[in-house]
Amino acid sequence: MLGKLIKHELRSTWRIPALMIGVLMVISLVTGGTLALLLWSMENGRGWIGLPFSLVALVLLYYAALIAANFGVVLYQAVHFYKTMFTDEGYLTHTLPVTSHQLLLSKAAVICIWNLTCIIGVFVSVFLLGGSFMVAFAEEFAEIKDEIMYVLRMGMMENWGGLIVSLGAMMIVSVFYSAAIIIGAISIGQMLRKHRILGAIGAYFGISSVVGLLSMIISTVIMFTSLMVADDVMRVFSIYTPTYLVMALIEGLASVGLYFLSEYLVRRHLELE
Amino acid sequence: MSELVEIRGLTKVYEKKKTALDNLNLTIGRGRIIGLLGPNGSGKTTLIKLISGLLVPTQGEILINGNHPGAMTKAQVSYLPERTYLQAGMKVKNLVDFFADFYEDFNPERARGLLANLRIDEGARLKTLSKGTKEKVQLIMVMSRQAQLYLLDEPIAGVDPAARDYILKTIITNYNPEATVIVSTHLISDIENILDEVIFIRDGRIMLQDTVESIRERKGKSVDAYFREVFVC
Repeated sequence: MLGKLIKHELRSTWRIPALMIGVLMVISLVTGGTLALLLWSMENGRGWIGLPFSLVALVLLYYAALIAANFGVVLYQAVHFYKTMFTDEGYLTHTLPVTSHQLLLSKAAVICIWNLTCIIGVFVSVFLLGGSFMVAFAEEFAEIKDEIMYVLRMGMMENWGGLIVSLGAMMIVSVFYSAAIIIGAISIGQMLRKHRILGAIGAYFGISSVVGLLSMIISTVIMFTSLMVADDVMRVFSIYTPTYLVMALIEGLASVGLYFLSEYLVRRHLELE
Repeated sequence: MSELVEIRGLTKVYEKKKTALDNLNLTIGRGRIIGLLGPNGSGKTTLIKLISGLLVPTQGEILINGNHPGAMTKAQVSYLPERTYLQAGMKVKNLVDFFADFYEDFNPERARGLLANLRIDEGARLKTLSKGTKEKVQLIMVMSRQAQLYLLDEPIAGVDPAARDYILKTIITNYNPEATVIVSTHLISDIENILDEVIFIRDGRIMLQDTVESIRERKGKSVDAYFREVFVC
């Protein structure tokens, strides 16, 4: 049943994320192409005077598309979750022969899939945007790469692999946390008789603030502790790596807690009007 | 064989203030068409939603084939709410696939046949259909299941007489004869002829549970007339 729920959930939610990410890709390509054209024209003493202005406009459009792709997709997922769980559409959802765990897991899984797709989309868009730049300045980028490799081999940059792993862990956990906080905040908002949407928004910012504050306090303590025990304060990665891992752990625990709270609220306190 | 639905001491209170159902005790047998009759605000919809698992009781319990409302009972119960509950962006054919995927007792060929009879385009999105057509699509999905219990909440309210006849005919010709159908309504004269049994409910309490035949014999009047007598304002 979980597979079927995920299948139908993907089927009913793919259009908006696909549109937003698609638009981002197109704008990235156009902006990257315009940048390449500008660089070529500067090198060859040719070109249209309007190119720099066009590029500025396109870069602004790119930022707008980036924000839309990230926040827009999250907002769309939140609205879809709310509509299918707690409005008239919830009558169809909650009369399906599935458990509340299956229902919530399917919703969380699809939110995570779209979150991850957005992250990948952003990386691809940056590559599309900067790709032409890298081709135009290939020699210069090769020199920069050599400099970076030289710095990484220096003593203070030891364990950069560990930092990459901890950042990667934080990024993966944040995908789950983003889904859990949407589900948790909206489920908590439903406990109110009136102003449920406001309640959900309040719960979202409240939970974010608490988890953020907790992360900051604990990570500061760990950072200072790492500094005190480090034999070389220049080994920055050995200080940041445990910090990021702990932040990932806090968000991971928050995600699990929010999921089980939501499941309990849906199973025991569902009040579809 | 045990009763299909057993309800014991069922109470539902909203916001610690409004008691929608008050210590209800009820048993519902198999193979019956039952009218759940009562004035507005009597608790009909609350009772149906509790049996469907859309609400949680404040006190008491509901057993459907010996099980509390949950995933297992939802596979045996086919519920038609009083409102449009389908996703607007869905196409009719996707809705048929959706029901076929989740409900083992759903008959997609029957659903398609009923849709074709009404000349409803399966490629149409639900949001492009009129309100009445959407309600018919919902009814077709619900009645195309071979469920053990059908719960129809106000299926004929707010529709024209021709549509009312169609809905009643669809109910009679498509339900599982071994199943029980509970129809909640206050339009009794339209539905009386198809009912085996009636339950009168007022202020969250059961006033009467009896067969239509028995009421007519004992009271010498139709259920509609007797209802007006019992629930006189």
